[in-house]
Amino acid sequence: MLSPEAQKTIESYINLPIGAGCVTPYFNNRRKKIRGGLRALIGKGSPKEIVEEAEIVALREKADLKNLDSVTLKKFLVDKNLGIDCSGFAFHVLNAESLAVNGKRLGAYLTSQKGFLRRFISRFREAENISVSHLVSEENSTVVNIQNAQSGDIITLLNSEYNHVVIIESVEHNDANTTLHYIHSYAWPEDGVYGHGIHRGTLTLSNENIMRGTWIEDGHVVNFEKKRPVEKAELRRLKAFI
Amino acid sequence: MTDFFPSQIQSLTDIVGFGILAAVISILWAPLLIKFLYHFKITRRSEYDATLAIESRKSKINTPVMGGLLVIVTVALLAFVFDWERRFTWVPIGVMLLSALLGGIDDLLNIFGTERRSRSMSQTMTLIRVHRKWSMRLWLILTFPWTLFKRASLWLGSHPGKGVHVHEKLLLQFIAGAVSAWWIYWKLAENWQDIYIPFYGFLSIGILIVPLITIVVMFTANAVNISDGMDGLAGGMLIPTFGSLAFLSWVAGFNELAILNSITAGSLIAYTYFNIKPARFQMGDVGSLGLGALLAINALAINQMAILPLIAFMFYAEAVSVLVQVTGRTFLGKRIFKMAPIHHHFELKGWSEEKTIMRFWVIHLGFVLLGVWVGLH
Repeated sequence: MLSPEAQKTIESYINLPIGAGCVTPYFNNRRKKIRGGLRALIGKGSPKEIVEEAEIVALREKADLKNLDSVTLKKFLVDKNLGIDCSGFAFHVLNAESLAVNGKRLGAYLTSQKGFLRRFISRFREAENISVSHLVSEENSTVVNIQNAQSGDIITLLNSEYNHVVIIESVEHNDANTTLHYIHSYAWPEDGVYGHGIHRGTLTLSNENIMRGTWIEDGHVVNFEKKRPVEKAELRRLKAFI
Repeated sequence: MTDFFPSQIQSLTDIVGFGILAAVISILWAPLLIKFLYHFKITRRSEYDATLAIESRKSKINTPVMGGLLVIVTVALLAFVFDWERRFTWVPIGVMLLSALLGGIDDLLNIFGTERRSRSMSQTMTLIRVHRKWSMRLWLILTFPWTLFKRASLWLGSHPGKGVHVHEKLLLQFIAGAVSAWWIYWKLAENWQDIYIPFYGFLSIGILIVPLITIVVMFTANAVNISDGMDGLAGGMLIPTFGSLAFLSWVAGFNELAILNSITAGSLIAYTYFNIKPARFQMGDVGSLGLGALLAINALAINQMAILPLIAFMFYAEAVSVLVQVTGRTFLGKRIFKMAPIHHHFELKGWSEEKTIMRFWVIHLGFVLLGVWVGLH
């Protein structure tokens, strides 16, 4: 199991502490391409930052968030581009885990970006500068066998255009299978405009091939390859947790 | 009876007397100004003011703006009518009017103007490559540095809406600051070419004083502009600031500048009376930019640049809060304050407007007193 601190972070994303509460939507800055913006507005904010930004946007829009039900609140957040992307979510959860387990922030275990300017910027804006491709580099993480999977590991799904990361919350081993309980921020096509966000699911594996496993979310089998082919899928462990 | 007073006491009587005169004149024509602003619908709109969405601030919609004209016009008129000493008063008044003109245009454009387009850098780059007219491509290349400056100024939080954009404001304020620097460095002669540092004496930085003066005028004008966000806040803080400048000018023997500061403080008393919540009018950029520039130049003219951060403490604190917020946003991706300038931060934290204003007044007054004490050394 993840540490209580990491679980608390997850809980805050699943039930944003604002009004009636709702699941944090998925938001990826690839389309908007906002540069130098607030973390909360580029899909990299912590739950607290997302809530604060939502409150400030609500003031401008003259919306009373306290009286909104969960569905309307989620619509409000989606319409205002407030949400979290997969690597932003992974960063905040694993950063909380690293602080709880190691007493150091996650960034301390990750290699710096190349170039002085990039290094300088990334030191101040860690969440924004930690991408899936950064996490999968050999300096930052190593591939682990399914039998050795543990909470805090990540599954990375790579594609030439789009990468994705999933966090392992807990692991169950039995004689035939290994079941990984995972959580991620994602927008499935069937989620529509407002249904996306943080999803919990299970991945049942009988061998090392991750894409051959059975992915189940909300009682339905899901398939990442329906959206786009996955070229490389790996279970990895960050250096921070080795 | 005054014949028996020493000359300094006589000048002090004049200084205070002119201050009272300015207050009385301002009180008398303030109702006319309010009527004029209502008649021409020069009132506050909510389209570009996010703070008006705060529940406690909704009452400010449709309050007349440009109330700062009360002080600007009174001060300018009295200065021209009495014409105390052109050498000392005309340039400060001119710089004040120039800044007020800029602020006035901004106020009017925000109310009656139309949305102004702002082309992004990528759009400009594309047009340079693909525009069918070579003359247009050449124009875009030649004006590229200006476009770059324009886009960079957006980082300072400019809303590309109806009013004067930040890059235009900066340019015009630079002109006002440069005029001030020219006057102080070349026209007021050698005593003003060094900076007076309390407890130390004169510090010579050579020609560098020119850009320093320009920056101080620009920064102070913007600082007062930024602080004008709550009923009575800027006006109430400007009274002790100009009062202290009047006192320090008198002590330094600049009676003309002391009178100029005194009539500004006097007129501000009348302005603040009408500006206290619920405000009959608001200062607007016409007043805040003009008075900010006047404050800076009057402090520079008596060689008290060093105490400006004290006698204009809350104005500078407000301006610094905006810079901190922009820096936090750009480099950390976070809001340092819930909202900047800092008075809105406290408002969002739950302080009432009255509590915020009065606490700011008290803190400011304390620093003004400290500034006067330091300035006397």
